Amino acid sequence: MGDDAKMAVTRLYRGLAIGFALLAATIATIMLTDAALEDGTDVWDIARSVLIFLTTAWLAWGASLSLVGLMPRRRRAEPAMMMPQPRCIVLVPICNEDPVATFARIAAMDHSIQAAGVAADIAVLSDTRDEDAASGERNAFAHLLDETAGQGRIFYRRRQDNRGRKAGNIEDFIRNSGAAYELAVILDADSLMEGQAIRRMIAEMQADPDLGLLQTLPKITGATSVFGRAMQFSASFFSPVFARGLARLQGTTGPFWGHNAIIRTRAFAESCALPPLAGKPPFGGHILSHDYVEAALLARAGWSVRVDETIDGSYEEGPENILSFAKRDRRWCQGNLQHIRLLTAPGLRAWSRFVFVQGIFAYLVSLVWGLFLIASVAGAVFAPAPDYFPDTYQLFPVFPSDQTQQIIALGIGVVGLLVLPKLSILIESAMTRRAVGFGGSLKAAGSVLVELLLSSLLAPVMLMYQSRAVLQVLMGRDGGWPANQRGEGRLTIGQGIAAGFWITLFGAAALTATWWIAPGLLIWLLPVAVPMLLAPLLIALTSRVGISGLFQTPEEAAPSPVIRHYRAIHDRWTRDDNGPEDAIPVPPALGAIA
Amino acid sequence: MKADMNLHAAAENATAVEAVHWEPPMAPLDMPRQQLESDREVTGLFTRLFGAWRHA
Repeated sequence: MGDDAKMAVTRLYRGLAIGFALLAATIATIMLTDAALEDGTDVWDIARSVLIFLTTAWLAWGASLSLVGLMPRRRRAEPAMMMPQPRCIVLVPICNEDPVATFARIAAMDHSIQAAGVAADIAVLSDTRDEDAASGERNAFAHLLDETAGQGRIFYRRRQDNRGRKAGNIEDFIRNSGAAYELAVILDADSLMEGQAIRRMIAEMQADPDLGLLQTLPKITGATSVFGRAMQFSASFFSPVFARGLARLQGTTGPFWGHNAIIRTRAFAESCALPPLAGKPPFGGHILSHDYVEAALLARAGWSVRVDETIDGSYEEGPENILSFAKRDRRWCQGNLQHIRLLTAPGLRAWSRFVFVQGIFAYLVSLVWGLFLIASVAGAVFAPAPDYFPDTYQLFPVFPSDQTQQIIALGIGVVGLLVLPKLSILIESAMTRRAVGFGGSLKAAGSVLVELLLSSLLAPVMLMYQSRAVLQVLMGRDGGWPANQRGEGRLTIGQGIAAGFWITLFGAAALTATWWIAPGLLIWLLPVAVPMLLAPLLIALTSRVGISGLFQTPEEAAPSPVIRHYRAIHDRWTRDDNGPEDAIPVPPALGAIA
Repeated sequence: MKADMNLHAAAENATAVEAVHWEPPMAPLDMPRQQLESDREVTGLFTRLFGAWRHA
C-alpha cells in the first residue's frame, strides 16, 4: 500500500472515530436535554447539557479506540535484520532507583541481546543526586561488568547537572555520544526487553528509512497486589487492541510513551532538543511529558513515528497500589496540562495538536464529571415546583411526565460505552484464541468481569485524586519529579486512612448535602459516594496479595526467558550480601556469547 | 579532620576515575534547540487565564 493510500485509510479511521464520539455525545445530550426541559429551562440545564456532551464524547472516543483496534492487522512478512548491523545502543536512564534490580535487569537483557545475535552497547545514564544511592549504583555496575564481561560495551555515566530530567538525560547522551550510534533503544529503569524484540525493532528501522521512532507495547510484569495484577491483566488483555486502534488513528504521528522504543539517533538529534518553557512550573520550566512532544516534533520534521503492538518481548513494571499510581498520575497530569502551552507551537501536524488536546482532556474530564454531578444536584434543587394547573380555566390537573425511564436509558448508554470496549475485546480474544493465554475464555471472562467491578469501584477514588491533581496544577503548585516507587507496595489500613480519609469526608459531605436538599437524587449518587466512603479500605485492601485464580496473563503463566533470567540474577545478587567477591558463580552463558 | 578530608578527596578521585573509565564513547552530535512557543504567547492568553484565576 502506498503512502497516499495509507493516509486515506488513516483519515477514514479518524473520521469514523470522531463521528462515533460526536454521534454518541449528541444522542446523550438530546436525551438529557429532553428530560431536563420538562420543567422549563434554567442555567443548570444548559450546564448539564454541555457537560454531558463533553463527558459522553470522551467516553465514546475511548470506546472508538477499541472498536477501531478490534480488527486484527493484515499479515505481513516481518523484515529480517540486514548485515552489517547498524551501530545500536540501549539507553537506560535512571534516577534514584534500586540499583540491584536495575542492573540485574540489564544483565539479563545483555545476555538476551547477545543470544539474539544483536551487537548492541548498553549505557546506564544516571541522574541520581543522592551520594549513597550513587555509590550503590557504582557497586552494582562493577558487579554487572564482572557478571557480563561487559567492559567496553556496557557504560555508566552520572550527570552532575540533571537539567531537563529524563529528556535532558537522553539529550545529553545524544549530544556527547550520539554520532557513534545509528539507533538507540530507550528504556526505563524498570524496562525489560528480549533480545529478539530489539532485533525485530532494528530490522523494522532498517526496512523503513523514514521511520524516526518505533514504539512497542510494553506488558506489565511482576505484579503481586490486587491492584497491580488488575493493571497487569488490563495491559496484557485490553491494551493490544487499544494500541492497535491508536496505531490506526495516529498513522505516522505517534505515539511515543517515553520508553521501550527505538529511535533513529540522527532524526532525534535534529528534531527533539526540547527548550524549557518560559516561566515557572507547573506550566513553565522543563517539559515533563516530553514523549508526546518528541513524537510531535519528529512528525513535524517529516519522520514517521509508529507503534507496533505485535512486537513481543517488551515489558515494564507497574504501580502496586493506588497511591503509587496517583503519585505517577500527578506528574503525568502536570505534564499533560503543560501541553496547553504547546497547542499553538509552529509547524506541528494537526493530529499532533489533537493528541495534545486528548492528553489535556484526559485529566480535565475528571473535573467535568465532578461539575456534572454538582450541576445535576443543583438542577434538582433549583427546579421550579410542578404547575398542575398551567391554564386559568382548567378542570383537570396536568401531571409532569415521568422522565425516569429516559434518564435510566441514558445511564445504561453511558455504562454501555464503558463496558462495550472490554466486552468486545473479550469476544475478540475468544474468536482469535488469544484468550488461551489468559486461562481460557471462561477464566478470561471472569477476569474481565472482576476487573470491570474493581475499576468501577475505584473510579470515584481515582476521580478524586485526579481532580485534586488538576486543581493543584491550575493553582500553580508544582509536583516536581518524585522518584518512582517500585516493588513492594502493601499498605496498612492506617496508611489508607492517612491517604484517603479526605475522600471519605468528601463523599460523606456530598451524601449528606444531597439527602438534605435533594433526597430523590440520593440513589443516583450512591455508586459514586459509597466507594468514596470506603476509600481508605479500598486503598489498603487492593494493595494486598489476592485473587490468585483470576487476572492470569500469558507473561505470568509462562514468563519469557529474559524475565526468568532477571529474577534468577536478582535472587542471586540479593542473596550475595558481601559484594562481588563472594558472588555465586555466573552461569557460563552469561557474557560468554560475543 | 584532615584525615577525613583526605579520605573524602580520595573517594572523590576514585569516583572520577571510574566515571571516565566507564563513560560511553565521545562522539558529539549537533542537536539544535527546537522552537515551540513565541514569547508573546506566554504573556498572553495563558497567563491572563490562569493568573487571574489563581489570584481571584
